[in-house]
Amino acid sequence: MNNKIYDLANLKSMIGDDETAIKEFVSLFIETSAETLEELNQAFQSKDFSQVGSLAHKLKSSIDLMGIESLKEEIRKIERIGKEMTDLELLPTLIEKLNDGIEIARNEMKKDILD
Amino acid sequence: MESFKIFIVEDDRLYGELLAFNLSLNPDYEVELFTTGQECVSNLYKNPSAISLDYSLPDMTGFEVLEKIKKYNPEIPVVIVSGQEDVSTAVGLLKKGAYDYIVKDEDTKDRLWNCMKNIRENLSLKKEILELKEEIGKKYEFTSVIKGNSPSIQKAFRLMEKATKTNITVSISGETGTGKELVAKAIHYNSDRAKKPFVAVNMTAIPRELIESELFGHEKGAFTGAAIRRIGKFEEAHKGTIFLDEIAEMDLSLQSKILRVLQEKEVTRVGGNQVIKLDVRVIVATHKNLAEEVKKGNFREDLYYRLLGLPIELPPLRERGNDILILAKYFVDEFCKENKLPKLTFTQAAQEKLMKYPFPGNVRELKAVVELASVMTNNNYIDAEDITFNSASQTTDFLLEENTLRTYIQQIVSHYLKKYDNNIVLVAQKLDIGKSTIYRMLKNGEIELN
Repeated sequence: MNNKIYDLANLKSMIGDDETAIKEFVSLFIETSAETLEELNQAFQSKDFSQVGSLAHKLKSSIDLMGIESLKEEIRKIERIGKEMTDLELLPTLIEKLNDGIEIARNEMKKDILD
Repeated sequence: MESFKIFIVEDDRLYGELLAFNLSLNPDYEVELFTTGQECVSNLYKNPSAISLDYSLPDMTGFEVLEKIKKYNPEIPVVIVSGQEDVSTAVGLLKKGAYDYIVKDEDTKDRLWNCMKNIRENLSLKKEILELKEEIGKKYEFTSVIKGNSPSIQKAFRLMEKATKTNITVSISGETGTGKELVAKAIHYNSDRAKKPFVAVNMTAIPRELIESELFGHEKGAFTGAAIRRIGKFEEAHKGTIFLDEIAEMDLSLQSKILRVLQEKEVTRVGGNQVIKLDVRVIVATHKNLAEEVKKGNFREDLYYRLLGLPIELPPLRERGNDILILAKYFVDEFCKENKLPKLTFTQAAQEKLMKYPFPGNVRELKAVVELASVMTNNNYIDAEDITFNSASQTTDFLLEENTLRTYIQQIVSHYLKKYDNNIVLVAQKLDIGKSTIYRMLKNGEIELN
């Protein structure tokens, strides 16, 4: 049974089993997700919720691609809240969960694939 | 096949790189990735063959980028790839001219791949059509259509040139086989309308009960058998040219309907109410004398004057002198080229035989005759004996021989004797001559019993 937070089946269906390519895309995810998450946290601090929504939208496809199931629902909720400006009180918990989830995924990926 | 340049516009660099990686697996694709709408717009000068565009970009919406792309070049196909699962957005983008809308999910790769494949095939087909159109244009250059130096054909040539400069209605007259449709096509393909349709309708080839729906179209259920809506020839020719051949054969009721279409420049489909505006150039042709038909009451005078426009009369081949040889040589050369045969020439006797023949079927007949001769000859030249005339009127062949009256009489009597089993009494009755005349000819050895 796969206990990992991520699942690369979707990525592999798009690029095949080329290990070098898989490593490249995992590295790219680690790099870009960190950048986007940083921007999202800053937008949240500045209460720019619409920007939070846009950045969640941007991160959504990466999360789907890397098969991070536990964040799929959360990222969509953040996107919706930013767009509709409702349920804003849920954002802190959701963003915290997002940060934690991405952190775990990045660490697991680094250990499993890049090391 | 030419290289196919794809722009990927995607703010999520990971996703963009992934799409680029995937599409680059096709060695014919040249993929470039941009992360903002502005970057994409600034690079349009590179003429991408297709664009994959993310709907949500940091600097502009998909609508804005799409609009700018379409303003730059409406022909560039844009596929929207978006995480936005919103039907109204998708419909809005498609209405604005997006080629397709793909939602980001596990099937994105395959759908985008298929989209690009289809776009590429369409582009290749469009290019092929364009090349064919240019090819057709060349085929109908005046010098390819009009062969000959006779004054009568040169006059037609000058009128054709005039006809290409404006949208004036052209009426072409001439015997069958003189090349009326060819002239109509040459006018169309040398005019400003060359890239638009040329629609030819032979009025005698369509059953009377179908002609209206054929010309004006019909709505679904307009009559029994009208299962779907169909546009007519006039609509088909919109922005182009309609060629109405054998115009004198139309009945009076159809003539009045055609007159209305020409006057109002609009058409209403059979069984419909919608008025459809038309921009159609009209060229008509007939082998009959239309003025005579008007006098006889067979053709409406008002329609006659509306159709007359610029009249071009195509002379019969027998009145074109040396053009017969020019055309014969041209047709043989073309035939040999098409069939990979060695070049053929005409002997003096063959040329004389062609020049003496009146060609009731005109240029069309000449073409058939010389092509047959090209097949019949066993040499690298065509001789008189290789040339056979199969015209519907065989008597012309008989007259070609230019015999004396006496010889003609002998030939006629022999022909009748053969036909009526040497029954001299009957032949004398048929030819209204005395029996003694036939007996005398037999006695003198001028004719023989068969």
